[in-house]
Amino acid sequence: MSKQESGFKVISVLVLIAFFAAALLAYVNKITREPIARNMKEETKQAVRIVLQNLGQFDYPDDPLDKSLTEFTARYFTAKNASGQIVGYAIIVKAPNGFGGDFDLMVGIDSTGKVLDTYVLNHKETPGLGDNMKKEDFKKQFRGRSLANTRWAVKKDGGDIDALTAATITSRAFTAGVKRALTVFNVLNEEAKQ
Amino acid sequence: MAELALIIVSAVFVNNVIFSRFLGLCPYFGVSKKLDTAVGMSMAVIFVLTLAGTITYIVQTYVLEPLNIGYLQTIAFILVIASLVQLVEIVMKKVAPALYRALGIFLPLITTNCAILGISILAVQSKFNLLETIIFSFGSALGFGLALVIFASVREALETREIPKTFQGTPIAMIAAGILALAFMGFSGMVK
Amino acid sequence: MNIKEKAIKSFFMENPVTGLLLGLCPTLATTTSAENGIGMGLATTFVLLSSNVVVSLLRNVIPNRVRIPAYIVVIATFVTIVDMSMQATLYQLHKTLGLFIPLIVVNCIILGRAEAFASKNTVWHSFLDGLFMGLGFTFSLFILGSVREILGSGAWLGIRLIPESWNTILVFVLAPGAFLSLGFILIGMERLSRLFERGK
Repeated sequence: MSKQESGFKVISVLVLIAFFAAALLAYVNKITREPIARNMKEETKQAVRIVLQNLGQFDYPDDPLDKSLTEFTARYFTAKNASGQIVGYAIIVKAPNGFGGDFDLMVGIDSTGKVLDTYVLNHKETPGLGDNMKKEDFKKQFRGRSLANTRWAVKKDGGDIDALTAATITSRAFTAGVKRALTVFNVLNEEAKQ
Repeated sequence: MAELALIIVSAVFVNNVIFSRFLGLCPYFGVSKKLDTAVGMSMAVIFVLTLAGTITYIVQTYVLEPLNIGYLQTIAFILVIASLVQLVEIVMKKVAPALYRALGIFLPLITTNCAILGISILAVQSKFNLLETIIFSFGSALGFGLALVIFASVREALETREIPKTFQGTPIAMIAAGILALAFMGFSGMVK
Repeated sequence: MNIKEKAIKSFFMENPVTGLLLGLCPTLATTTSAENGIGMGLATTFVLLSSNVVVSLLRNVIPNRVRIPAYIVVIATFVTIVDMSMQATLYQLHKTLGLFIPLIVVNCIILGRAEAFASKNTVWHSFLDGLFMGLGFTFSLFILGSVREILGSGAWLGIRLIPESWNTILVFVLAPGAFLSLGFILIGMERLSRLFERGK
């Protein structure tokens, strides 16, 4: 092993290894690409079913649509009943300025503009503190709230929302996220009427 | 400008590489016994990480994404970092021998410092632009240096104290690191 | 090679984490629960085992001068395979472990075993070495994950041990708790290793 190998051999071995590595990865990528895409989609669809579960039977499209407002963008699913009437929306927004940055929040809203349920899709909040936002104790206070019947801020800031213990920043972000979703609902609702 | 300042403060204090992201712990425990080696290592990391962040950004944006071979990211980044470290070593030896004498021995250790690869991948995942990537890499490296230098001072002080036999060596270092991490948690929430 | 002795060694005296202090980043970062610890440990074991076998197979082919880059390519390939297959099959776990899956590449244990063991030993022995070192690593992560989950969340492997309304020692799930727990585990493992040494 200690003798010096020729430059040609050195390079050809490296190139061969790299070639095999790239070929193998291309193959694995090919067979895993679809399941990965399906997993991501499935998670979102699962979330729609959760946030809109109180609506009973409804249909919704496979992929969300985009909605751009001046300050932020959102994605949404429109849920329709068997006769084609809109019964609610599942709106995905970025909850701004959480403890670990923005996080993705899905909010289910019925046709009258009241929150049904919430689901956190992607987040980097602290385990045991901020991620308690996924728990029923915190989530339940949002149900039935609308833009009109609530002051959208945590109690510390003069609003109506009970913040999580030791996770005010997360709670603020969450509250702002739900408010964003309701704003999107208003726009969608106006458009649907026309 | 405010945006960039925020990235730096967050990278140095709030999301410190060591205490909050858990990256680069091997050198953190490995070279923190003496203050001057800690300073040398910090300098080397600041230099290489800023460069690596910049170059991996370019590789990601102009090679991997256009060719649609994102799945080669790990392999491409680690090769870029390994060659970069070699290159820095050669260039530094020729151009700045004094600097090489000071930092040279730390360079080979840097390839396997997961802070370099980790921060490079994080910068891509955070969808930063070039300037933000440079600032983010620099800030993270600075945070690493800060943590390392503070820790080295603590360990030097520990040397002269009487420590129960059971705790001597790594256990007490681990516990000291835990207490420092607790202190750094005080920064959390500083940047919204 | 005596398998039983090798197993005890890689679990205690030469345990990658508690004995050799290698691979600390994933150890501390991913052990917020016992389950995450096992997941990370097994992903690393797979990479360690595969790269050990391939490096050993190629030990007479790879020129000495470029062995490190060659090993890195081999390791990075297996890491990417793990990354993609986990995302396809264990989506939630993959999301939790996140960044630390690609970072298996720079886990010093893997390159260390390739260089120190697999490049000099037969395929079978390298396979065993990878397996036991990997399981030793998983073992440490499992212990650390268990301690942090029980103290920090009041649960073990997802099973609640105390009512949800009770307060837990939250700091153990957070960063400082990782360092503190590992510090005490190091002491315990040191004691155990000494017991085994004496028992021999």
